[in-house]
Amino acid sequence: MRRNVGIGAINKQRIVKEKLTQKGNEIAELQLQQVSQQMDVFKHSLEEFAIKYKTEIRKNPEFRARFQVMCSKIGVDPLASSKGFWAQLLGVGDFYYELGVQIVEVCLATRPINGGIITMEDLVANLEKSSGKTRKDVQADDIIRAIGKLSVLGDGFKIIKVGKQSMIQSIPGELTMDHTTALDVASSNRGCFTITSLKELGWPDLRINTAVDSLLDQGLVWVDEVDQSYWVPALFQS
Amino acid sequence: MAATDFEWPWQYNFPPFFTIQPVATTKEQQLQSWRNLICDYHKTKRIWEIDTGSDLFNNSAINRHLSPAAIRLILQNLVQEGQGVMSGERCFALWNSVSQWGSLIHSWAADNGLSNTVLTLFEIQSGDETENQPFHGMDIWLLQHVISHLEKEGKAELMLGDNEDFSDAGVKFF
Repeated sequence: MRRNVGIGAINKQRIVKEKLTQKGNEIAELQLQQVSQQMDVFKHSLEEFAIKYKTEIRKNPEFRARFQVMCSKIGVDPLASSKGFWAQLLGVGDFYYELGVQIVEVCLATRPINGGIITMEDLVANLEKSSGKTRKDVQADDIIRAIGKLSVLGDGFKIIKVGKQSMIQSIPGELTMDHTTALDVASSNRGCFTITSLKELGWPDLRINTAVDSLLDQGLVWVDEVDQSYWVPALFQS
Repeated sequence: MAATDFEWPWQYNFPPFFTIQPVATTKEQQLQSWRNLICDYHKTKRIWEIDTGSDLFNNSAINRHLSPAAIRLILQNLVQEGQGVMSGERCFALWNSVSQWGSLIHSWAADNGLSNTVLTLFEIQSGDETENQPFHGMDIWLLQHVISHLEKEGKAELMLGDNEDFSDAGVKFF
């Protein structure tokens, strides 16, 4: 009788295979359990860490940013809910909520001047000035997160890129591509663009006039009669 | 009280600030900024009469100035909003309202035991006794204007003489 051949052998192979598969599943299951346990341990450590360094996290923007990164790596969002463990523990949810409210206030207060867009720099400067308690602990990173939270209220607040700068837009609706292009041109020229500079982009007159009129109407841009140039208060530095 | 160096607001160096803006809401903003600037400028320098040739309306650093039409519009708006008053071609900045000025002068008189005595406008304007008062040095026409307003409120009696420059005018405070 040849070995490993015949029904007996096939059955044996099948049984071995089944057992191996079962074992494989068991091992995978075990690994999963172990990983899950490790995650729990890690989460627990993170919670302890958060308790221990609560004050640092509130006060130190760099520390806070790195803490955020740690959290997101294990899928914890400290900002997720104001009823959550984290928010209660750290009051972190409150921090961003408060900051969001202050950002809204600054944007509304400066809107008559800048038409509803403001540079990150100006926003930070205004936040530091206005708040009763010192707001020297706020950085661009915090503002970006706070605005992310605000966006659940609708698209009134968003961050746009103009040239090399980040700007916060607080008017509802979109600035069109043409608007931001014109603002782009202005941002690399002390906050000023001319009809000529838009012509150089290859725009026909109608397109230029439409964009310019719209920017004027929204109060984002003022006109200088002397040389027919258009200036963006939000981007102007004297 | 010495006049101090005036710190220009950012608008002053913003070229379009010297062009009356075509868009209504922007123009509103602009006119408000001009009113504030005019009042702050004159209050800091302690000058009451607006000189349309001054550097206030003419920024040589950026080579921009307000046109005569723009100046007229801005000054009209200033008067309309109660922050300026005209006498013929002359315009005066009112960083305090006429009524507020009246109160200040009336209080000064009362505090110094000068009620019911006759004072000359000149004394009030330039006398030693008023040297530390915010109205010291006030243009005499404006002073007369403020006091005639007090008179309407029954708080003073203005006595005008014959001289057009009010050099013989007096007042009695009640």
